[in-house]
Amino acid sequence: MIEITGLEKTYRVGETEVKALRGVDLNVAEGEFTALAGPSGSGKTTLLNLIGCIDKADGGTLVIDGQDVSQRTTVELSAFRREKLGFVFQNFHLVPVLTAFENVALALNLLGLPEKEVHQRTMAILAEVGLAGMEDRLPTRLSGGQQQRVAIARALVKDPRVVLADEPTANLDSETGRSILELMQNLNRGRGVTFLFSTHDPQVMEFATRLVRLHDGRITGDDRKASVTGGA
Amino acid sequence: MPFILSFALRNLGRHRRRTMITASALAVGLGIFLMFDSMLQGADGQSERNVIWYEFGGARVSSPESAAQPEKLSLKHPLSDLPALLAAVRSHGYQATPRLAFEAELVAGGGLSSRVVRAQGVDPTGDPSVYPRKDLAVEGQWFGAGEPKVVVGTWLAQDMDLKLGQAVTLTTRTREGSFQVLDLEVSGIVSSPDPILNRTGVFLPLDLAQSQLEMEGMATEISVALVPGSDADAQAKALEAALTAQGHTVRVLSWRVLASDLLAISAGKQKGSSAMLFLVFVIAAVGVGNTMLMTFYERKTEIGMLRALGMPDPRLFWSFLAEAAGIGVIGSILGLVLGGLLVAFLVFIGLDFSAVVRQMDIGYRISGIYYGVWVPQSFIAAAVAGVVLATLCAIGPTRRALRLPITQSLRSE
Repeated sequence: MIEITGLEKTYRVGETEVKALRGVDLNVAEGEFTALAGPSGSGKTTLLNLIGCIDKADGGTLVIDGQDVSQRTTVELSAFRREKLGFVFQNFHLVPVLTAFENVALALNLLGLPEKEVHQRTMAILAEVGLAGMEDRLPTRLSGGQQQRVAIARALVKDPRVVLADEPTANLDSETGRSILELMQNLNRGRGVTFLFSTHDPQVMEFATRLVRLHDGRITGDDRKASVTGGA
Repeated sequence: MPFILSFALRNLGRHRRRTMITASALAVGLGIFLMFDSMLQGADGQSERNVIWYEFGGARVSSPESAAQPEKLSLKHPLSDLPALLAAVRSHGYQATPRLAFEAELVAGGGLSSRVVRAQGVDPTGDPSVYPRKDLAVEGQWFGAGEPKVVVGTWLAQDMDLKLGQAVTLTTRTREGSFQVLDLEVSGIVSSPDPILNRTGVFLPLDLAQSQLEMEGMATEISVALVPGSDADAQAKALEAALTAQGHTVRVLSWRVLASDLLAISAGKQKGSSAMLFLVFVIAAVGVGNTMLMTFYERKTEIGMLRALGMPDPRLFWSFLAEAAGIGVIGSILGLVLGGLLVAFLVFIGLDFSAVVRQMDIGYRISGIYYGVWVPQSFIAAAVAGVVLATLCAIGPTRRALRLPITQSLRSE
């Protein structure tokens, strides 16, 4: 599903160059539930941004779903993200003036789907993430956990090939975080969607079927588990 | 497109206070523009009417020499063969009346008070056909033919402390250059909407002026009432051509030529309106631009999220422009309401500048209250300008926001 070869990324902070990724090689198979772990500055968010096609690498190749996205234009990458990728952010990033339904439907509106289909799919995914009956609520009337569920629904409603989540439980208490991880895990199992998320939370790492460790822009560990340990 | 509009509309309500403050700033600009525009156009209309009714008529027939220097009062080049010329003008369907204008010194109070004035001999019966007197307030009465009486403007009367029945003297020179003194009685004090008439108007019977100035059967000009609403210059030219064809050596100048000073003020007004529009533009630029900058600053992460989700930049661009246009629409509606109230005040009540006009000549031919007029085109232009300017002012900040890398947008919380 994701084939990464020699991926490099350098940031310039004033006169200083910061090598965020130093030739990362990584293959993620379809349906994997992979955690990118590491301390701050290890490069996990940079790697997630590159895979999410919201940043461009300085070197190496990146193939997602059989398509080399390394050399694509900004417009092409925007279309690729729209169709193939789902995002879950640490701070949820819901649009405050849109209801839960509208926030989720937004992803389908961008694809230009008919209203009827948008409505059906949105209602279905909201029910699937446990938000049936809350579709008309604005984000301000939802708890943190509910907001993250809306964000997950928004990421999944378009049936993406890959869902990328940056510290998805960082702003939630441990109990809510656990329920969010269980939800993501169930969706991963039920839909077969590839999940890739960054974290430094041991609880989150326990849920992953694969744990990729990063340090100073290099992969320092890659562990696959026979079965999930958390919540199952 | 419906999504963009719906999204923009929701965002407008997101910061209602800020939206209303920005829209209000735009509204004040538009309202002031409409008020000034109404007042200036009203002043133009009132002045033009007063110039025609009280100063020049629609056009003036005079000798070519007099026409070359219309401001100069000279008796050297009068219209001779006046009856034939009058008949010729009237034969073309115009109302016409002769006048004899001359410079004189008006002396009153036994020489204690005097003014150099532009005296005019007018035909008591024919003059009202060209110079309507319905809006003139006359204390006393107009004179009859041959009566040794004079009617003076109200401000002139006040300045010289003239009273009805008072004896005054007009000292002037005849056509041949001899000194002539006319002893007259003030029969009327006239108050007009035209400040020139109030300030300098001195009228006496035409036949009396002709006999005293050695100009029997002559006049310095024939005032002509043109067809209202038609091109004054074109009518004047046509009349001149027709009179020339009939063998009269005359020039016909329209009121537009004779009142060129007034038209210059009117042209200056256009510049004033443009300056006002520029002011509106500045308000829009500062207000809307600032609002949109604050919007982008506050919604950086949201913009980043939408772009990460794959919303194309042009779609986001149009969404923000629609939002700015929404501010423009609200501002325009408020501006039209505010402008409408201000213009209504000007139309029905007006602004009284009589104290100022009494003291100094400000160019417009209005003695007292300046009334505005409804100018529907200006309302339409203001509404369109409000929306367009607000939208244009958002382009810069929007493009700037969309140039920011997505990763930076997402990080900026």
